[in-house]
Amino acid sequence: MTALLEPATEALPVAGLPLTAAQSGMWFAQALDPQSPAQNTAECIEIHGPVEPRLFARALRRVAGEADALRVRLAETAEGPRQLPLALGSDDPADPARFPFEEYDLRGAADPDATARARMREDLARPFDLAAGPLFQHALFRVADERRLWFQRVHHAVMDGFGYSLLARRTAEVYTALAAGDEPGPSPFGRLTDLVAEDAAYRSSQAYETDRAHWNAAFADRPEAVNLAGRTALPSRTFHRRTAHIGAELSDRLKELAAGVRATWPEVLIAAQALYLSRATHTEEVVLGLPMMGRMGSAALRIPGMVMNVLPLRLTVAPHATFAELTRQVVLGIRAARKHQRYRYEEIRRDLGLLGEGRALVGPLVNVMPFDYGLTFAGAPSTAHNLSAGPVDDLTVNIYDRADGSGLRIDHDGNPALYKEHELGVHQRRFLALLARIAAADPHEPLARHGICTGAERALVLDEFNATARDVPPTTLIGPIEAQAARTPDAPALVFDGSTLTYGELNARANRLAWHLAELGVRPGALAAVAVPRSLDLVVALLAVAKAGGAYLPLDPDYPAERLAHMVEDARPAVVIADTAARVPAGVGVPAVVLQGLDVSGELPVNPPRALTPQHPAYVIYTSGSTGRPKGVVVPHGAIDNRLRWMQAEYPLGPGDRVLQKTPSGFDVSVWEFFWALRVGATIVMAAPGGHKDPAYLARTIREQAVTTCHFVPSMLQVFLAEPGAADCTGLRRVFCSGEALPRETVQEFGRTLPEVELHNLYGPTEAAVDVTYHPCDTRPAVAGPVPIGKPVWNTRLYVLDAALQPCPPGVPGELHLAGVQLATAYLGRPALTASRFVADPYGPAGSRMYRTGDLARWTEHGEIEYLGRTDHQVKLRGLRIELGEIETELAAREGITGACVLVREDRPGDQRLVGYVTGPHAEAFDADAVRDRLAQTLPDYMVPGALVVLDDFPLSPNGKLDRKALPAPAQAATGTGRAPRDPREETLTRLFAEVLGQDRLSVGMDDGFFDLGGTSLLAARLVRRIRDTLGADLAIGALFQAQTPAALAAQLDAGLGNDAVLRTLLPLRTAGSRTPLFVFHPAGGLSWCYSGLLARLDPDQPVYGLQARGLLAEADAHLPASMAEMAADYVRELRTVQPHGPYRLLGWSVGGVVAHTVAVLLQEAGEEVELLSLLDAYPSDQWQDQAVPAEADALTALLRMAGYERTDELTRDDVLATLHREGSALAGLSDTTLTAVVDIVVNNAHLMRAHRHRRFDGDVLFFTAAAPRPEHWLTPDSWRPYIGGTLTEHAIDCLHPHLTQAPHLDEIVDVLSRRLKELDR
Amino acid sequence: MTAGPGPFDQPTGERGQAPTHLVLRNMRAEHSLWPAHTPGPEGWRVTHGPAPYEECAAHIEGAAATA
Repeated sequence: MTALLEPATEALPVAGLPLTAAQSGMWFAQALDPQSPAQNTAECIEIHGPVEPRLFARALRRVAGEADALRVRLAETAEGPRQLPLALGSDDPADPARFPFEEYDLRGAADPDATARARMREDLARPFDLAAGPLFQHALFRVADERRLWFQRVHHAVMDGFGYSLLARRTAEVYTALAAGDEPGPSPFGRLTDLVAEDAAYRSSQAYETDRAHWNAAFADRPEAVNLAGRTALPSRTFHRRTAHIGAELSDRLKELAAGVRATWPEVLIAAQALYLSRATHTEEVVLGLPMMGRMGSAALRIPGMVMNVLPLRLTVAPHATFAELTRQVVLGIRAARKHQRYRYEEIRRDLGLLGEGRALVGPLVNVMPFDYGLTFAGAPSTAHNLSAGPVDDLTVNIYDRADGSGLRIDHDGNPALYKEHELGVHQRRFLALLARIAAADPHEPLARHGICTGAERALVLDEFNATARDVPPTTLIGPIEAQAARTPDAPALVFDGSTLTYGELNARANRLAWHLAELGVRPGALAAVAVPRSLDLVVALLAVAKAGGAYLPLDPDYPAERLAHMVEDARPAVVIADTAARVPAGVGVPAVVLQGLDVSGELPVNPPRALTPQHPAYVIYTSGSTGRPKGVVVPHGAIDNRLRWMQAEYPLGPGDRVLQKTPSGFDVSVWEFFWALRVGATIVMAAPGGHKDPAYLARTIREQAVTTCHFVPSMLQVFLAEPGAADCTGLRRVFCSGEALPRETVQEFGRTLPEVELHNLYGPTEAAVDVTYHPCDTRPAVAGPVPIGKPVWNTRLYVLDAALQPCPPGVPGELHLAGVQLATAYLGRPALTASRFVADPYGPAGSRMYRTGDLARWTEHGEIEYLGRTDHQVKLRGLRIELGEIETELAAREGITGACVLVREDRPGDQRLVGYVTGPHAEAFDADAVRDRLAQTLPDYMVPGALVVLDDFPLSPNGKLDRKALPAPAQAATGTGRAPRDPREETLTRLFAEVLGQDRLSVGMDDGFFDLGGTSLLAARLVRRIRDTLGADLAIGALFQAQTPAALAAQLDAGLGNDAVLRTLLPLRTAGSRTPLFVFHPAGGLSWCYSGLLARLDPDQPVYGLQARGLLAEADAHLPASMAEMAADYVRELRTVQPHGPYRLLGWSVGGVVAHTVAVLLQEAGEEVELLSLLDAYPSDQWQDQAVPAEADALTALLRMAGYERTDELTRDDVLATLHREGSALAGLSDTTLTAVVDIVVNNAHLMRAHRHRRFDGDVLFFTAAAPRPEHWLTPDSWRPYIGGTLTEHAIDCLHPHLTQAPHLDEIVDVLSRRLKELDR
Repeated sequence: MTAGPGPFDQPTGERGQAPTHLVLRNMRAEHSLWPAHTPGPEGWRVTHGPAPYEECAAHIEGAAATA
């Protein structure tokens, strides 16, 4: 049977029609993922009453016959994608073009409705084949005698929501007529041809140009469209849906509210969604997506098809504005958008250049459908249910009015790649609660009245998470220390540089100084500045100030004098305590107490009396200030006492514990390092001044001083963990981190390095007594995700507040505010600044204050805080707090600079540095170094930008603000003269610079500053480590700050090691390390550089010293030794300056082996033990005695070999030198005098070898043979037998003699050697 | 995130000169700047404003100087 569509309408043109712009978007999306069902739209109309299925099917066929858009397939043709006519008619199931209608009677099913829904879901998951068609599907489910579900699914490329309503209405009309036996009226639909023509006409019209101009102007600044997920994702094939209903009462109230502010209820709901989005994302400006009908003319209003569009609605949600005002913005915004609604969403994105960036134009969509069909089918009433409104990129809030007066239905549809189902539920619950509060409130009150927490969430974040009340006695910082000193006067209190003070001694010394200070006016409420470097005296001074009742003001000796002078002038302390007179800031007119030479023996050693209360200030610490001057934070005793009591309760410290004091006194972490241990009977171990920057020193100190407790800023912890000695710090019990975000990778690295040690993450600003949150880190590798800063400490409340000071629910970012006993009193002498940072607390006891941190944070569901970043321009660089404004102010104050901007760049991953941008000076005339030198006079070194860039103008965003993202990365080009390295060490230094900076070696000149080349202090640590490993120089990182160029650094090394240190008899290849040193003896040429390959291969804890020939330096008293014995005796003297007594470890290659053997014999004869003698392819003198002494020619060959070349046609010394220069060899940097000396040494050594008479070494020999065939086939290790008392163990290495000290052969050697060294270490 | 000026910052543009802030004072004679759009918390009373941000800041400096 062939049932024709009734009535047969005019067919589309055979060649079909082009797609409209709206269709093209959908077609393209489907083409990208042909198997995706995401473009399916579907609805279900529930019909309550009798339905005659045969008539219903007839009605459907008739309507399909009237609606052109349903009778097409979309195929790619030579002219692009087109909609082609599709014949539909047959009911034959085998006919591919049969009419897509199914009928099911589910009355027999256990749950007919559920079964029907499952069938619908199955169908909805089926993608259409656009090129084949048909592009719709009907089904009628009988779920009860008198109830049926009409399901229809249509591809979005041919139908939109408004089209659905036209189809449903016409279907009801046709069915009703057919059921009554009447002929349905003529089709009300317009033709698809007209729709396509209208679309084409629009696109070539003036209106199109006007619309384009409108949208381009409205979004010229390309606002960031935030969404609730905080990230974007590709569209998924499906979506999650959460459905809720708003009852009649609330929806009526919302409608009344809308009427009251001259708006419609959909506009009120859109305003409410904007408010929710703004608060949930901590963003004042939001962009919502509004699906719009897109039908402007009356023709389109009669055509079922795909026309709809999504348009951006940009809204500013300011806390001071009222809800009525926000609604007004919505009304006006929609009005403007509606005028330009035919311009496509995809085109706006394209015009703004957002397509390529994958950036969103809009956040969530709010799809309000203020129409219900309210249809009846031959008298049977019906209800419509949307099942899918099309693809969900992010989040769509669909809102339907229900015509039966039962209220509104709200669907939250979310992209599963961005939202979990329960998260949608959470957003929905909060949104509904917000709607209820809005409906109950006066719309003319500020939006600040509204928060987005539900009642339960509010109680959770304000009260439950902050249940930290704890009774503490009203004590001070110092009281418990004096009590402890009385309890354990003989216990060690303080260790520094080999000296120890007991509690009794420390207390007495501090008391004597305290009495003296009290006489000078240090009393409760008064300040005493302390300018003393890390030492016993520093702690004595701090205690003395507290004992006298005063508050201490640390003056970090590393700060520039100008800055220290400013602090003293600002704080007006009663006295300045300094170790030396030179340390007292000049010209500040404050009495000085100079400890050097101060005699307080006449003062009493007993505790002085004082009227000190917990409210009195304990210390004042200066922090960076945004307006260009640092500010003093006044912290009272009660605050820091609470902090220390909490810490002791959480991490009990006892007499066996030793706390490392390494933080400079100007940073408040030092406060617990100074005072905690002394309150509980533990011991403070003080690091050397500057030691806190040197990971090797720290690892050594922690090990040697049995430190159990210490602190690291996370970036320094990374540096420390990279230090080979870190893994041996197993005496540690706990490590604290604070100061900046702690990366998960660092926590995991910590777990790998020190698996038995606890790691705790703490957080707090100076303004709240060091730390206010804590989190024990799980260092196991399986744990992922950000490391929280944790829960509040005792008597401390944390609030995460939105821009209206309303609490944020868990997961929602806001500014972190702190309240409770740990708050500072004030910024010294800055009442307005104090009143703007320490503000009234709306959630605490009456009249209490909270401190706003400027940190962006959020609660986890478990009551911990996660740190997210800053809300302002304050930055943390390696734990150091920096107000960029302070640096900008300093820069702008320099002559010729008209504008300044400073930011932290991360042009290489993990490598953050400060870069300054200035306008005004001419780029060529600008002396960056001079400006940086000037900055360094007022700013601490960590605040001086590593690079300065001159700009003609600052880049501005379209709305006229400074566009920080558009500031260029500073050029990495070499800034110096490009002078080439002159000697091997200089060459090594430039190579290491380049390596660490990730640059080409040739781009680094001898006079290029490390920091100018993009170096940071993290990279500096790496560089120093590499220099140490490669050159064996024990260099402090601080040295790099004073000597930034390879040239200057080379000079520094000289200063440390003596001039031409690399040519001295004793060459310290690596001085660091706790093992017995290994002494290595030069081969024929007299230089021991060939052993540098050992350094990277041996344990880093193994010191190595080279012995080199006399005569390399043009020293007056230098002469070549006359015998091997004389040479060996000389070397014994040298090595004894490093290691006065045995057991000794000796190694020599070639001639060096003979020397080593001779040295070993001499040492044994002197009564010393030699526990290792290792010879690398060395043979006793009698093997050579018949051989001719090498001529100069042979010496030249040897010299070239030392540089790694085989001699070809070089005849003379000059030829050889030319080759070395041409090849850029390190040896070429040696002076001609030295090269000449090398040749002489080679010849002399050949003579000595032949003349030597070996004595017997009473011990074992570890021997490595170069086993490749060679001309001197007679050489055998057995020739040593007469000269060895013990056994000789031979290891054959498959290479020639000259290659023994090169990779990979050296690997084999060190393998064996390391095992032997390890055995000896046991 | 593009948060505007916070509730305790000086507003930008024209609002910078608008009466946006209050000065509050508690029993301990501590001051707090406060956004005029929100009532001051319990235990604090308004001693100045609504007034422009800078005027409030100047008022606090003045109050401290005479205290």
